[in-house]
Amino acid sequence: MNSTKTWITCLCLLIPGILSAAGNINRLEEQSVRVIMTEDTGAELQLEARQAPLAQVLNRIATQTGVRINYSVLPEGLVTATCVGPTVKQVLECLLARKADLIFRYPSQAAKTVSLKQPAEVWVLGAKFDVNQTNSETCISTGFQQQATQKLVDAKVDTAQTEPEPDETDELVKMAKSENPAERAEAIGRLMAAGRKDDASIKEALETALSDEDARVRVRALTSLSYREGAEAAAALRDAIHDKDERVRLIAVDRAGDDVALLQQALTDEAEIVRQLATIRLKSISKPNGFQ
Amino acid sequence: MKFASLRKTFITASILVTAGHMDFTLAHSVSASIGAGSVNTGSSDLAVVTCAPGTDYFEAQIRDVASPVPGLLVNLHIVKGTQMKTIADTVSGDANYTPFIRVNGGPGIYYIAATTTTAGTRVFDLNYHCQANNGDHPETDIAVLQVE
Repeated sequence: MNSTKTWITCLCLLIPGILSAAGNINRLEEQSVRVIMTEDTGAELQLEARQAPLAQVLNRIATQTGVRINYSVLPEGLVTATCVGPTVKQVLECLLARKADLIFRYPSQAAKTVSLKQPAEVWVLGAKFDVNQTNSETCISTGFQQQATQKLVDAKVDTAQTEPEPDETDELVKMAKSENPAERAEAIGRLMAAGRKDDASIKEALETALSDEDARVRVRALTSLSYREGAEAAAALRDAIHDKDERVRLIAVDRAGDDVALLQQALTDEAEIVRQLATIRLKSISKPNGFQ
Repeated sequence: MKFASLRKTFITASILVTAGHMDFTLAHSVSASIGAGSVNTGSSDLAVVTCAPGTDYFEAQIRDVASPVPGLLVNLHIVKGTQMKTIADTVSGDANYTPFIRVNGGPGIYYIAATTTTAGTRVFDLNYHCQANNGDHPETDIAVLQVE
């Protein structure tokens, strides 16, 4: 009886590991091949393959679309491609860079009501191509230039974030001294994320703006300073909780972090919105969640 | 007695199995103000969210928790590449979030913005997640770019 008990215990303890390993394998596969079906006209089928065996890519397309894909010998090696098109036909032509012979069988007339364009079955006759002739990087099926443009724009937007922004430090610091309060607010606000890191002229401009006559400029100065300087802006935040303008006090609470003393002080603020945010912040400190 | 002992062992093992598969969904939420530094009519807070590989879509919802002001509403926008979704919290000050809005953009960079319809300050709660279709919750990073 004891051995049975031990055996059952061991088996139960092993199950999570086995299932976890299976899950990891599936995740690995999903990372290398992604097939998405959408309702976007002309881009109903989207394929992203990264360093994946061609057979795996074809099998994933077949599984996802329900279109049977037949092949015998496929080249070894890994495929990297991004293909977008309305049907399996366009995506396969893109994937294989039109180097393979493809035969498509379409459903009967009655079945076409279910899927008007999608083939029912495909044969890949790949004797004359190798994996190096399949597409690499971004490939959008010919005839769908709009999707190609979209993909390229998408990639460009993503890339743009990683490219360094032009240095606007001097312009913004100069603009922060403008006679026009709206321009000062604009410059001070943009200095939150723009401008050289640890630049003394920016810090000076922000600290000067903390006592600007225009409340909107003070709001933005407090915001930008606290984002740039972090804990070093704590003193400025504690001063700001006494500002005559409730918008400045609101930002002091917004950026207070876990400064409980400041938040408790804000609970008696004359402005309801300041009290509201202070209450929320104090609650979040007592019940921390994922992100603050 | 032996049966009771076996039952206890089995229950213990079952708890361990369950714990091994428990998938904690990480909630990303933030409370913030908007509109305090507004120069023009409406205000825009902007952040960039980076969704790790394995992400299929990014979703978010918003709740305006400040007392209602006629004509002053908070909107939420998500942009990735050429895709964009938007929603407004049409009832300010209640306990309800808007429904989630979702952009199926895969992994990468999403821009998320909270905006107001006119001048005025608001306080809002925001929930956001990078998600995989299988329920996984890939790593989610956020960086604030603009606060108005």
